[in-house]
Amino acid sequence: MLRSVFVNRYTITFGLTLVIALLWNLFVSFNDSGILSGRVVDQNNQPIGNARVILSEKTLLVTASRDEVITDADGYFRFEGHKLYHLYLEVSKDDLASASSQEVRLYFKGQNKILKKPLVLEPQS
Amino acid sequence: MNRSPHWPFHVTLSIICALMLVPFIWVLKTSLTGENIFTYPPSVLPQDPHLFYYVDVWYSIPFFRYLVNSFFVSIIVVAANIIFNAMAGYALTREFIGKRAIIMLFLSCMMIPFQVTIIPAYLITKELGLLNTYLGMALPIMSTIVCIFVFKASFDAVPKSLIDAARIDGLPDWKIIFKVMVPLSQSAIATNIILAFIWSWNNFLWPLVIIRDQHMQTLPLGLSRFLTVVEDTTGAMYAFCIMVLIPGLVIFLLAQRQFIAGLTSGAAKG
Repeated sequence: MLRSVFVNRYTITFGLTLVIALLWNLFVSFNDSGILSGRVVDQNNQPIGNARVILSEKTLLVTASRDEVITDADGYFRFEGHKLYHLYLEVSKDDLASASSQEVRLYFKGQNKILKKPLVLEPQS
Repeated sequence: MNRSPHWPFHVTLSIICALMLVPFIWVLKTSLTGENIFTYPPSVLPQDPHLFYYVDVWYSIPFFRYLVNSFFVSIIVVAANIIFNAMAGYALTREFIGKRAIIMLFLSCMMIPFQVTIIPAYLITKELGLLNTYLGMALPIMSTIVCIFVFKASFDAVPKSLIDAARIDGLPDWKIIFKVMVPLSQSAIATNIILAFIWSWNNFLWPLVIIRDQHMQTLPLGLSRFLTVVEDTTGAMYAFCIMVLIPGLVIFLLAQRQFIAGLTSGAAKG
């Protein structure tokens, strides 16, 4: 009797949905510190220090600059505490041309992400 | 006995099914890729699919709020439909003076489109103080004639002796309905749940008329708002459609057997 009440397609479907939603929210709560890190390199894949990296928000409604950091000697940069889900990264350095802005899309606001592909700065022509 | 092979019939049906699924697959594919119908060469499988359009929809409007609103209204509508339609369906199985006239009135009312009665419906809802409320949104579809006839057809199949036995045992009419008739009409209940849910879930015009507060809007109104505030919507709009479609689809798939049985019950009676 109890088995037929709890083990049927309705309870399984809605129960499974609830479990997935809970697990997803748990995952989000542990991964929403807004950490976004990556690396800036030149055409020869050499790190570029002191480059300026600008983080811009781009939702379907808004485009605005939100934060900026300077790369370290090894070309690494790191943003923390952003609450965005659709953003752009722009890199520039005085003697080098700006890299075209790179779109970064996230599955939830402030998702922690390490960029696998480095941002490439080209020399000024 | 010379039996013709089944496979041509099945192949034809499979092709027709595939053709009917094309729009749905197209919506699903566009929601995953954002490519529009004019993309050449056309492809059946999505190229580089991703779920980011769903993320855009979730954050660019208060989607969860609209989802909860739609669920609240649908739950009210489904519960009211089962209760009121069961009572009305039971009444129509009894013999009383003017029964035929009432059935004819019901049938003729089915031909009147809702748009014709929307002003009186609005005035009544206003007088009841239900503008901008969940109950107000549910009010016009809390009982539907089609579903009343679904219950009537199902109740007609219950033997009269069972009702007489319940009456001899001292059950009042409302207990006969909810303790005897309704438990024997699972397919009618499933049909009511699915139809009422889908009508409520897809209802656009009535909530548009009576809802003023943005936070009380339902998903169809949300889609309308989404389209007015967003420009490049191809992928996101289709993602929105899929997100709105899923709850109704799940409920239909869960109860499709009872739904079909409910719609066809009484169809073979003489």
